[in-house]
Amino acid sequence: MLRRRRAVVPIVAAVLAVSSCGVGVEPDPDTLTYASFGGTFTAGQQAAWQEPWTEATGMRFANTSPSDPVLIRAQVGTGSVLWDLADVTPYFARQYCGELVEPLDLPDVDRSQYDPSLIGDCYFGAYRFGLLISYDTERWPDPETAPRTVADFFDPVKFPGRRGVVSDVANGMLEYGALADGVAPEDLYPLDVDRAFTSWDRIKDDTTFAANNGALLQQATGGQVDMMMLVSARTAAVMDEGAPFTPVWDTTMISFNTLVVPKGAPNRDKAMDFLEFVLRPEQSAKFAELTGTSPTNDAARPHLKGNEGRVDAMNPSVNTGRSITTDPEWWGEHYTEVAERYLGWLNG
Amino acid sequence: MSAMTTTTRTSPPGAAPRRPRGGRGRGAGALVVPALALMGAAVLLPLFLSFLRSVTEPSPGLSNYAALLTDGVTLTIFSRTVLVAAAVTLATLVIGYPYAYLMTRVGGTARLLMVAAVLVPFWTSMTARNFAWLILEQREGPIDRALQTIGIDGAVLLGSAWGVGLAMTQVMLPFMVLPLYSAMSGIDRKLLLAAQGLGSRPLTAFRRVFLPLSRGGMISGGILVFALSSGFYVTPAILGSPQQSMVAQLLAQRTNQLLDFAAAGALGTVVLVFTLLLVSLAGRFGGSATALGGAVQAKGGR
Repeated sequence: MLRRRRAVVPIVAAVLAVSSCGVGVEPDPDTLTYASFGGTFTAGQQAAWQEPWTEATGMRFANTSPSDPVLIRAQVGTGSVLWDLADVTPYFARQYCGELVEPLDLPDVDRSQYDPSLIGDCYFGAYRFGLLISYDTERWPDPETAPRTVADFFDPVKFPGRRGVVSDVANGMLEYGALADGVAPEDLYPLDVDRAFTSWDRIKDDTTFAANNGALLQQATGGQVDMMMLVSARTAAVMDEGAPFTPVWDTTMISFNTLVVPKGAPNRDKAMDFLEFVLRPEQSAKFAELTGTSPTNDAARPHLKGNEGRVDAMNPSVNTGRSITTDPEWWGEHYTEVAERYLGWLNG
Repeated sequence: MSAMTTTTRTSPPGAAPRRPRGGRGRGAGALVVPALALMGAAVLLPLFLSFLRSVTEPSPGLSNYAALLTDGVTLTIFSRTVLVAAAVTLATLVIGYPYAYLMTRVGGTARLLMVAAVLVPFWTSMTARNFAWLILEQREGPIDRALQTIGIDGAVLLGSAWGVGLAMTQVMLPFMVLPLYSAMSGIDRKLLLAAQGLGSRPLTAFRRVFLPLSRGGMISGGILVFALSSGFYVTPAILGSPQQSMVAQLLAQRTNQLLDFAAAGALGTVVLVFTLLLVSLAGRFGGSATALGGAVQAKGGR
């Protein structure tokens, strides 16, 4: 008995020693840790934003990915915040404003260059992209009889075929459902979730719900879907691979991403300075060109070429329909309950 | 390393007899301290914190556990997971048993080839194997085409629980074959001859002598495959679909998308307790030492 109790002491001591390792890493005041999505996105942000800023100020960057909100929550929750900047959705920023992300403090940005719907207390649109509905032109070769509206996507009788969508409830897929059920575009918010699901019920069995953008891209290039909802840059990538997809220009849902500063970031003020730089017209345009997205700054004039130009929903000569921007305020309020409902619906 | 700790706990190989009562065991005990400390800090402590969070957030109580029963999703996914895991266990047993049996009956070279056939896929990257299945199972893939030629249209396995089960059976097969083989190779075949000498027909001798003696291997393989399958993430994530989720995917969704660590902790606790219950239950029938011994042996091959 006695001996056993004595053995516990070194074990407990060792546990405490091991578990306290790793706490107290000194932040480097000259390096901003920047979380994003890797690949072309990281390359784009390096060339358009980071390198010019390093040249101007000497500030260095450490890039990391993926920029998962769950990692921000874990960092803030354990009091060991490593990231200075993270590329996230505005509804995440809205939902956790002040809790997981710092309210933005950007006095030097010219707000007149921005649509007010892109700006909130904790978010400021850095780039935007459409959630495009596109279809396989080999399946429907004649444009006259091919899918032409949002409602066509939700009509498995008129257009039988496999649908693909990324399983991310806030990406605009529910908005499309509501529109297809007859909700007027100007009355989209507050979103009528019931009507959105009514539409999705019709095609649930015909739809492949992909885990992420990359998975759907792979499905599309592999001929696994006939019609899909995919973000614009990835749709262009599918077309670049030679898969015969073409966008439907009816109503297009536009989303945007924002850079946020996680709550308690080691270099908060320097991160804010960098954000002001990123939001300038030239930087906004250059990033869009490099990543196949659209700028948020109205004064930016990007030149999108090839398929990236063909999917540019913000260009009125390409997008012959209309576009609506998803509402981060509404999603920030309702994300959790709608996501729970979606999870139940999907597995029901 | 895990093999070491387990052997010292169950039956020390050769030299060292069971720890003497005197002071000589203390040195050996101290050797375990780093391992226990690491386990404590890296596994037990986080596990405990996760459990603690599940009963304290958002308010103290069992609300997260009650939600598992009432949210309408968890039970569906949980029973689907158990069903798939059970089917995979059964399938690996049906395929693995004759295979392991054959391994005990063939000559050295053939046995080596058979072991290699089990171990080579085992050593191949998990992701690579799952992507291979993705190509096999997709629309217009080899399986779909083969089914079309016999008149079955549109039976695409990709994204279905069937497709996940099929691939998981292949992925899990080594975990069944290795414990089975290790149990069977220890069975004295003279017992079968004795049974036949006493008038039993070969099949009866197999059923009444060999089969019961190989039970330990079946149980340890079964536990291993079932436990791994019920918590498996890679195959369901690559070959399944969000509407055919398994528990591990649900856990990922709860943490990554809903950022609900407390609910995820509750779900994780339930899965853990369920698996532990199962292991102890199987231990009743097969003897836990055999079961875990086989498990450790199989895992050592990784």
